[in-house]
Amino acid sequence: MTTIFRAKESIGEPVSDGPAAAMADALLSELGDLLHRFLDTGEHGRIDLFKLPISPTDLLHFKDRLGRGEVSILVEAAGGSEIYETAYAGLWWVEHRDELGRVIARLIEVADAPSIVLAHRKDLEATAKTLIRSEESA
Amino acid sequence: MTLLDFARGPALYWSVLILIGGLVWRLSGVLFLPFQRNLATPRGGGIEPVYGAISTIFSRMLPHREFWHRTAVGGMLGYAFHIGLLVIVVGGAAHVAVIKSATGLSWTPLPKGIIALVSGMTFTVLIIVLIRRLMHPVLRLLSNFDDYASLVLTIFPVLTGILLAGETFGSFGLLLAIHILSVTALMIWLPFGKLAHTVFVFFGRGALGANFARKGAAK
Amino acid sequence: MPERMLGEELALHKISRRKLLKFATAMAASLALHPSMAAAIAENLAKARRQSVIWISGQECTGCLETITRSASPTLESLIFDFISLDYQSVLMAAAGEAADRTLREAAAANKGNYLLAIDGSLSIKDGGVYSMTGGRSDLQILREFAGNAKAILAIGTCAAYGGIPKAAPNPTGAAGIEDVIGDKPIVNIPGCPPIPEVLTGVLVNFLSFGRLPDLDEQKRPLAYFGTTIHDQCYRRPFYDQGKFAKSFDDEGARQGWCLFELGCKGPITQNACASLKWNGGTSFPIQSGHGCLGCAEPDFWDKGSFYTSLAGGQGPGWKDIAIASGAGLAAGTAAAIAARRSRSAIDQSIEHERKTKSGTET
Repeated sequence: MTTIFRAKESIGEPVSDGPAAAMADALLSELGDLLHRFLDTGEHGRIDLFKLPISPTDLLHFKDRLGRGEVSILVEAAGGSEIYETAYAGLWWVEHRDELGRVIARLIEVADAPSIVLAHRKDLEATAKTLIRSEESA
Repeated sequence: MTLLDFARGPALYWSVLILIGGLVWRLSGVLFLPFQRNLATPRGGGIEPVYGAISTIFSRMLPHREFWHRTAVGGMLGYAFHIGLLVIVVGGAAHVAVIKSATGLSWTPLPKGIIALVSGMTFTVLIIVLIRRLMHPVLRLLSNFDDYASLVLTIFPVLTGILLAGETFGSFGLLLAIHILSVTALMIWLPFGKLAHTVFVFFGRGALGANFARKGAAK
Repeated sequence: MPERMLGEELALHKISRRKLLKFATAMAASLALHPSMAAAIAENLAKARRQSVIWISGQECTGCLETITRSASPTLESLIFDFISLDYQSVLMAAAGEAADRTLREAAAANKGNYLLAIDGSLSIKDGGVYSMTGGRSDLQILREFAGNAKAILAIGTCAAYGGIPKAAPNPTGAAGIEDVIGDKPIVNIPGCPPIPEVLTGVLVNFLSFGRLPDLDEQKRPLAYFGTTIHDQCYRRPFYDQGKFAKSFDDEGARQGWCLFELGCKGPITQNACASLKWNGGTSFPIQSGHGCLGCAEPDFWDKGSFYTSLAGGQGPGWKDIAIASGAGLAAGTAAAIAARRSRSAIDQSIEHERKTKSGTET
């Protein structure tokens, strides 16, 4: 298995890109394909960044390259989750943390909105039932 | 016990003992033989036999000029793989580590890339030597089991070492086990065949040189 | 009373759908599944029934249990305990003595054919297993009794998988792994001393979400976690490739974080997820902390020679053994030389004798 780790990064020195830029290009290309698929079928696309063989510095470079858009969302469910739209519309940075603040998942979701943000239909139905009942009893 | 445990354990242990014990046996078996009484008058011209012995060890490293034409190819091939083997064994980082854990001595190894190049060269030359021995009519006629076994047992450590260093296939553990076992096989065979020339060459040339010095023919 | 779906139960316990989805996303990454599987995992977990797990112990140090419980709380990982019903665990449960024995029997009976049997610690086989007994019965007997009606067996830790520390030479109790005793039930080995807790969570989530155990390799370990060696995932690999090795634990190389191969690291022959998943929620792992891998997830790792002898070396003979071998060689060589001398002088003597007799007849 080849990795794109490079010696200098392991001891914290900044590195000019080469393989890192190539990895970023490949990821963006794949994200483009996923966005096309979403536009055609409505299927959410996802790329896992957590287990990708990418060094912390390269990951930061990629994050910078994606930039930030207009929307930031904080989800508090068993710890916080950092979610924001990147400078590319439809590409969302999703980072889940546990109660101790440790990252447990990191991915890029391709959709109009990340699925964890949207309220689930069953929850909507349950809430609707509750509201109608309280209305009737009032 | 896995193959690797066997290679790093009993195989390594016994092969080192057999190598050393075997070489001591063969050396002492020859050194304690009596010298035939030489009844002729020494004609050395004043050169002590011991100096004759030492100078012959070095003078025999190259053939006489008259024979260079015929022995050039064989000689160069021989030097190529001997030097290559020395560089690999003494310069390879893993080998330096083995020697350090065995004796405490250590030195800076050569870079991995250089060892890779030298290994490739050594392996190629050894294969050429083997093919030459198989195809040259005189060599084929003269060669016996000892000749082929010694060559093959030398080739395998080089080949398996290349495969291991390149982490080419399968598991690291299996490649390492096979490499160590190929070296132990070489060590076990070494004292008992022509590979024992590793020690005998010095004694052989030395004895010849001492004798010649006495006769006044030392070089 | 109809059994509640986990989803409804979770709602009662204030575990929201988003929490579940977050957990499922983390699990998908852990199991090396595509992140889009998270939704399926969450949905299946919500629909599942609470899985009965019975945990029995052999010759163990309790480290495996500690690592799983300590690591899990108070993080999202502890969610797994909402998906399983840990019906018997002798360290965690309140009951003791006969009450505990009763709990075990009742739990097994109530979930006959459906419970997962988790085991930590090795089995003592020698002398009928008298060296490891609980409540007057050997753990071997207890295992055989409860393995029969289990859906599958989870061998947790190197001791349960392969024998571990109790099996180290000379193995006085006849310690063995579960697979040496049970042959007719699906077994998942989760080795490690201790194992990475996320591995157990992953196996359970896979089982609950997809109704089956994850893909296993020939040693019955989940491929998602044990498919690669530490060496292949190690962040110090560039140093190995460049030949930069630390020679001692406090030299410049060690300070620079160079490869620990020469200090005995067994990473190249050890398969586990330490280098990628790491420990304590991704904090670090032995090599990152400056110590070579011990190979603790491999069988017999206690009997493979020193932890500090590099893989390039081994257990060669000491100087004393070499001296003895040299002495033997010297003796053999001297004997051969003496024999040669004798036969040589015998030949000389017979030549001399022949010469004398010949000259005798001539005169």
